[in-house]
Amino acid sequence: MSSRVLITGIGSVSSIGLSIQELTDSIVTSSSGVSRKTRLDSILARTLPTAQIQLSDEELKKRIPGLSSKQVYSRTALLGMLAASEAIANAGLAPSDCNAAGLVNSTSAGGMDKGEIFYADYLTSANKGNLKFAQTHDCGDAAEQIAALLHIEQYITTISTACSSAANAMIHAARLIKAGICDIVIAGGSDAICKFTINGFNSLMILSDEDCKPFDKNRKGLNLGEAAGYFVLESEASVKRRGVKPLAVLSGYGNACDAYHQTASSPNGEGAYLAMMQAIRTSGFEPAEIDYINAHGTGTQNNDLSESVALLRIFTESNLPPVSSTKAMTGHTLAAAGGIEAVLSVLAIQNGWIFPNKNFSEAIEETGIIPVTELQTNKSIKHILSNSFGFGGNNSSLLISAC
Amino acid sequence: MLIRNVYINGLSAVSVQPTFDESFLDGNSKDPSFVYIKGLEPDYKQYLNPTASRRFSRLIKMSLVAAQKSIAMADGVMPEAIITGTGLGCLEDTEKFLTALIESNESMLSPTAFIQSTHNTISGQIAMMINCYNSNYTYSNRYFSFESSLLDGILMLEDRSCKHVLVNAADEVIPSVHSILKRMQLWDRRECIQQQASMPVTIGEGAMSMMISSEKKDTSLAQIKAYKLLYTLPAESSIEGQIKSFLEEAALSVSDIDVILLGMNGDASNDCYYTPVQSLFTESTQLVYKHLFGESFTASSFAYWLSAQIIRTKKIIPSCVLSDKNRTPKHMFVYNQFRGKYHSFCLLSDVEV
Repeated sequence: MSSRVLITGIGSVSSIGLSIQELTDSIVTSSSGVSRKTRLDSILARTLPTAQIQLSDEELKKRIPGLSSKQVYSRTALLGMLAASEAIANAGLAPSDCNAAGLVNSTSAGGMDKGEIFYADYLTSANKGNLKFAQTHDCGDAAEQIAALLHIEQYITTISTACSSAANAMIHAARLIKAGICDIVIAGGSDAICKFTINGFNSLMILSDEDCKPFDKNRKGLNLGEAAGYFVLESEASVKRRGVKPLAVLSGYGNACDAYHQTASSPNGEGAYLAMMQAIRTSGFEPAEIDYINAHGTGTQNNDLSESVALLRIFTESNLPPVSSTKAMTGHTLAAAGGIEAVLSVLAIQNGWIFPNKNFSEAIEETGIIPVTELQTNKSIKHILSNSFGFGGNNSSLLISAC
Repeated sequence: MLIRNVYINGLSAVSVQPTFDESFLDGNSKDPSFVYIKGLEPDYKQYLNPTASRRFSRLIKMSLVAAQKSIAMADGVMPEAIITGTGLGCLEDTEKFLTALIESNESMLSPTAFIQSTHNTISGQIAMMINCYNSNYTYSNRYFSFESSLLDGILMLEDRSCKHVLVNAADEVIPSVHSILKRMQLWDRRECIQQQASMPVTIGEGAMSMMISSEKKDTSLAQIKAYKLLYTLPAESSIEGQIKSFLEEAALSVSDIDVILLGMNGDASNDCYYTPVQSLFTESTQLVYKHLFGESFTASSFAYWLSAQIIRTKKIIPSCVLSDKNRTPKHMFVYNQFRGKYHSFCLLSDVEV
């Protein structure tokens, strides 16, 4: 039961790279995917900055061998399939390994991008609308598509806990491995930007009309993005059997509920505090051993203050490890955020990096946290805390460690 | 997986049948022969504050009262995790926001419906209702939405990170989704479960809440002794073989099972997968329930409500019987699947003294 959960493969697609290699290149140049270019046909997306992947669904489809030309795939499924395929290739999984593996997917929007096209037609008449679009609407569709592509047969599921979804997918995957239910689990999250989410966040008045500035005193809100981040997680026995070298260890995880408000975080950051503490406690490491915190840091007034308060409750000002939010580069990719940020955490460990929190200039008065603003290299990074906090008070934290 | 200590200590359901007041167990049932079956909603004033009642959709309200009652039955214990499975989530609020978005052409939208449209609203609102800061999860994966929730809850009890976990299921039907599902020929085939020719299966809805605990109590309803989920059957394996080895792990054989509860839904392309299972359990009483509860991504959660109640009361509900072997329900096997995928096996037994 106490064996370690090892990370043996990673894959990602985002506005700053369609593969791990492209993502790595973007990090080196501290590039941002946030722009006013929009592929999404939305009035809001034309006026607000977003971090979109500038490839059409058809172009994405061409990059995934084996897809049926007749089938309609949600953009969330396409992004997920691309990143999950990269993760299994990275881990060197054989087809027979995939058959016996589990898939823990996660998404918040699911196939809403196709659902909203269907529903606009349906509203004109109940007999209208392409049912193939409607069939991709629910969250489970993307998991079924990924499982079909990768021949995963044993177990599939999907978590939908808003912006903490992918982190929770990794936690469920870790429990499956520790209990011996699966030796190998492909876990991660995917979310495509769609009208529903951009309008929803806009109605909450938390979208910035400028590039987001996480942890800055004058932050104006978040920039939505789209991405997918996937992992191959494995038991020690399976790693040994396959004779592969793990990339990192999922050494701790925490999930807590803020139980404060459906969309706002509590002033004392209770949920965030509990999630981080639990992640640290389950890892068996001390707070002082953490080398870097990849913060949730969305750039909203509410999150960044609440998260800062929670951080200071654990670390105090003088002991706070380097902190940054990578969302000024990737945008806030919702369910995928925990996935892409955990991928970044693995890259940080491999390359000795601490990522820049772009667009920061002045600290929040109440807390005074100054994040890292330039890419730092040649660091010794052994333990990273990666935060993902979401609507509904769903707060999760992962502790990712060097092997 | 074989399970050591998982007891059902609290249980409640709002469904299309009178399950919330439990009169269903005394033979009170509703004829589900209308367009689609609407959940029988209790008088919310007794359970929720009126402001909340006005703001919340039917699905959230059904879920909140079911959770409240299930927690109360478990002596008001604070769960260390709240896990909810929902296949389609908060449809009423999703539709409200989507319609407004399309009709207003992306302008002047009120956030209320968006806020309550996300799948995790249910688990989040239950946490807020009882001020629970502990773990909180939402699963949404078709016919494993509730099943994954229960699996995760069982794992949390078995690894001893929790003593009490509240596992919920919730799905609602709205008229537009009913009409879309009919166009998809899903869940409303107007075919019939064998021998229940007068009862076509249609689309159902409701909320189920179950407090599972590692602590056995005098009031525990039943225990979950083994549980297994299988997305697709491995090549060269049979469902009969899978079930036999599942029971063997719990040191039981097919003939030890007193009652089986099957998720047949009146759709011939789905129900054919139950035939070998029916033939396997020749000595067991065979029950079905979806002709009374309707079908949905989380309809199977009512099988758990029903089997725990049957084990507790030791009474078979006549309207659910496919074939009766007059056996006292001590061990029950609950099986659900959808067209050869999403197999879930659960062994529920009476609480050993």
